[in-house]
Amino acid sequence: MRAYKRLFLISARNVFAYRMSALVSWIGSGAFLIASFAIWKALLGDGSIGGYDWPSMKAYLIISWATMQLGGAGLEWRMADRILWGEVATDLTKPVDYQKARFAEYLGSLTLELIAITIGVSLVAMLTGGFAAPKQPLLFFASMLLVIPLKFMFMYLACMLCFWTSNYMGVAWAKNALIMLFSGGLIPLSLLPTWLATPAAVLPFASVTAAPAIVYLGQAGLEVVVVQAFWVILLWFTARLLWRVALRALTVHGG
Amino acid sequence: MRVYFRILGAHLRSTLEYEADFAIMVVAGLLFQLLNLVFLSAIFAQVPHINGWTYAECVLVAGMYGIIAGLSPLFFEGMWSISWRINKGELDYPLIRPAPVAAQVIGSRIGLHGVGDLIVGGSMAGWAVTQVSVSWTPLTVAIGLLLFVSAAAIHLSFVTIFNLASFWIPGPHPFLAITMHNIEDMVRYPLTIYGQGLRLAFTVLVPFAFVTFFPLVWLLGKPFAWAGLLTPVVALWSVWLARFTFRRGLLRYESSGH
Repeated sequence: MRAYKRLFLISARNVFAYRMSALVSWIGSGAFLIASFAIWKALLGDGSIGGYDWPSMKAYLIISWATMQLGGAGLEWRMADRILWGEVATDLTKPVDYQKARFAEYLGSLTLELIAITIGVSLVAMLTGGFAAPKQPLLFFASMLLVIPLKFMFMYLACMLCFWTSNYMGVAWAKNALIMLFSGGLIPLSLLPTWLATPAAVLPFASVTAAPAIVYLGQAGLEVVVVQAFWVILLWFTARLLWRVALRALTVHGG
Repeated sequence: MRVYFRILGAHLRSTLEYEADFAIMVVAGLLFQLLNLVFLSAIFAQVPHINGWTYAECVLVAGMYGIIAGLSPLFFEGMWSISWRINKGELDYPLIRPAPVAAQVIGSRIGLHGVGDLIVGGSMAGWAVTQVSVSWTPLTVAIGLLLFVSAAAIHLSFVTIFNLASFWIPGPHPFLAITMHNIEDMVRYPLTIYGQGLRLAFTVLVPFAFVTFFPLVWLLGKPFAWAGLLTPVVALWSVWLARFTFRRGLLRYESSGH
């Protein structure tokens, strides 16, 4: 347990070392947020689309932004690089569980990020004249908490593909595009055409954005949070299984 | 120019060696462009137009941006490597070779996700062009092509300029360029949806408005259509600025210690 605590602390400090890249990602997603707000404002006006009026759409957009930002501190690139360059070999010699060690680092990188997200959300709330209050505050909090391990699992599983590829950029983009589409980050899932809404309903991605958002807006209750928890557990053990397969595919050059 | 295409061709062949990576990159490019289409289709299933822009017109904006944005990874990807070249003193090699530095740097990489961008962006724009109400004459086509080339030149010039900022901002990563690229992504929608300050900034400060919006405003005959005809002028200014920045930057270049 002490080893994991150290990893957590080191990773928390690392975020400061990579503050420029963090800042860039913040400005980038800020631009995306402005574009989303602008297009939805133009779309909605004073009316409503698919059950969303402007105050509830604002809440939806800001929750989807917060869940997208979460875990974006660059940890995934460092993990991917270590696998691609073969440095993962030294990680393997360490007497800690690989998956738990990365999770500890991930949690460490969140410390600063959670503060930044809180500031970001408050700023947006101030600038856009507030948004609808949460319908189920406690359940929403639980749902947001579950987003944390879920985002880790997506990142971790994607990084593990690096055992088979020689470049992470394409994998990361494909992963981000899939999450964007099927999580509800692009557009609320209820507005998607059926041929996309159906896979979205059975895939795990909806648990990272749509789930907390619809709990916040009171469109769904406890059942959504249970599904989220189910995905956390299932993905955690899938990753363990994949890890065992991946080790057999590992190529490390030089010695 | 010949040197540039020789270098680029060599990198294309070396990149194609990694087939799985190539496939993933193209698919990633495809997916991101398709997201724009899905988004537009989903919202236009609910409303007939946004600020007077119809579905086909919005698809044209997004498609044109897809094509232009796809050109930079395919032909200008090397620009993104200049910050670490400066940082590591790697610019020494292009400087002493008997070929233009810009050609060597710009051709030094190729990003194949551009293929995905071009395919989807091209299909979107191609479909949209047949749907919008434009009275096509040879003159419209000629001016349209000129505006398109100008718009692409503006985009590529500013990719270059913001990456060249690394001559003045130390560090191995092109942070300014990445940030500006994310901001430029906002022009995938018609600019009318944004507030006045942002529209002004995109017109005067950094002319991203000329990458999609103004050329299409001219083509579609919307208010301020005349502004679209300024695109070639803005393009000339952008290209000049990029070349000027390159020269000034190279003068500032200090190699790392040897």
